[in-house]
Amino acid sequence: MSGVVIVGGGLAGQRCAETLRRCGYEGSILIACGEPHLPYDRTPLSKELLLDAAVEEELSFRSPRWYEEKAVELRLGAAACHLNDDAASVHLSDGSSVSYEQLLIATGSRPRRPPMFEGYENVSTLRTREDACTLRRALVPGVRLLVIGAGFIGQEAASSATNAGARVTLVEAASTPLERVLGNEVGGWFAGLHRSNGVELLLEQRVVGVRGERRVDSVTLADGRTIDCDHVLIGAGVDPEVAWLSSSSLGASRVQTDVDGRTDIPGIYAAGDVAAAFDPRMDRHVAGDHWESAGRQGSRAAKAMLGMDPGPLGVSSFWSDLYGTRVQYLGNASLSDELTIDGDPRAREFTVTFTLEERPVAVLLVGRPNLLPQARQLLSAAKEVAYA
Amino acid sequence: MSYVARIDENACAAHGDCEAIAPEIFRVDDVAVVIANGPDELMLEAARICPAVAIRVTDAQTGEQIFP
Repeated sequence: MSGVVIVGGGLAGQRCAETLRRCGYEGSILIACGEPHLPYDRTPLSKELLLDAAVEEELSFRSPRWYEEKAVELRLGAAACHLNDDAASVHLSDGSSVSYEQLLIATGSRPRRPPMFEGYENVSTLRTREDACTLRRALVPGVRLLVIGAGFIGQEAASSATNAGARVTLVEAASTPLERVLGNEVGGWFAGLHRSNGVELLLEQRVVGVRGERRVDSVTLADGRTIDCDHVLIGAGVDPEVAWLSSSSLGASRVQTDVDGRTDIPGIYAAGDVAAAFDPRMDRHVAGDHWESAGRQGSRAAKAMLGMDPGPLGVSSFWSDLYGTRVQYLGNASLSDELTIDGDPRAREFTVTFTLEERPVAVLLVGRPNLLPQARQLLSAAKEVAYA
Repeated sequence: MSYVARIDENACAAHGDCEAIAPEIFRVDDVAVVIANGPDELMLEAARICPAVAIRVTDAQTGEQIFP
């Protein structure tokens, strides 16, 4: 085996393979997937799949026939164990080694799991389809679900679980959900959204202790309060899946790349959660952490492998559905020094425009899905100046 | 049959929802393409469901933008 080897069966790897074939690459492509499934879409895991088991049948990006027709070889259940960049080969968990001419590192990330929760039966994270199925089975009406962390995964799970009839307690260390990204004022709106949908939201709180034998029966918070629960979901962020790179020249840290996914080692590219691509608009490396950017990075890396121009860098958007309201976010609000709100937050229909020295750097749309092109245009037009 | 659908390639993130509901109109590889014309309502439905709002529907005769 040589040609292109893609390590990781998520979106970034899948898009890379698709773009290689669409752009006429005729050499071999192998995707090594750590999980025993065809590459699949993770976005429904915190949404539809928690409510409807049938969704699991529709998760795969492509049918088995697609991989045959496109001559994309899949090695399933073969996680990356070791990269030997001197020999241009990757050792896989099924005992095989594959050599490559060009390599895409797309191993994604793994959820953080505080050690105090190790070994309990009723504790989940949400990364794989098995995780989602475990959580779905726990979501019987009336079940007490404790969600730790009010990032987007925790918030979506809280929304879906509420929809499934669970009684949800959501614990967050910051003073509002998404405070670090969107700030206190907008974060406060998210807090209100959860509370008005019946979620018990506990802010500026940490879990300091766990009680139970094989199952977590209750947790203790920093203020001494005890929360009883039937199931625990941890949404405490993710770490890049990089342990397998520890003995390579890249080392076991998030893989830095240029704007088109090239690492410092010729022939080796990285995309998706595992990578931090250089963003010329911000003049620094930015960790890719959502669906659209992962897909675009995989696609850009494919074009770079083929010596093609990947084209202008688009504005990636992120979307979430919370209690039936569409939330979309573009840009980087953490750069901003001011924000303006247009519309009616109480009616769950408004736009937040984040500005830096009066130039737009991010937009949040709530309940206004059709304004996305406008928001994108606003940021595209402003970015040359705003990030200069 | 008076509407036309176009994909904004810079906006399309290949979610694939358009092909899922209207495979006779859209094909999605790493980016969506319009492969044929189709019923107005189906094109509009696909445009509305697109998470990236990357499908623009216009009236072929008047050029008027119908969606978004």
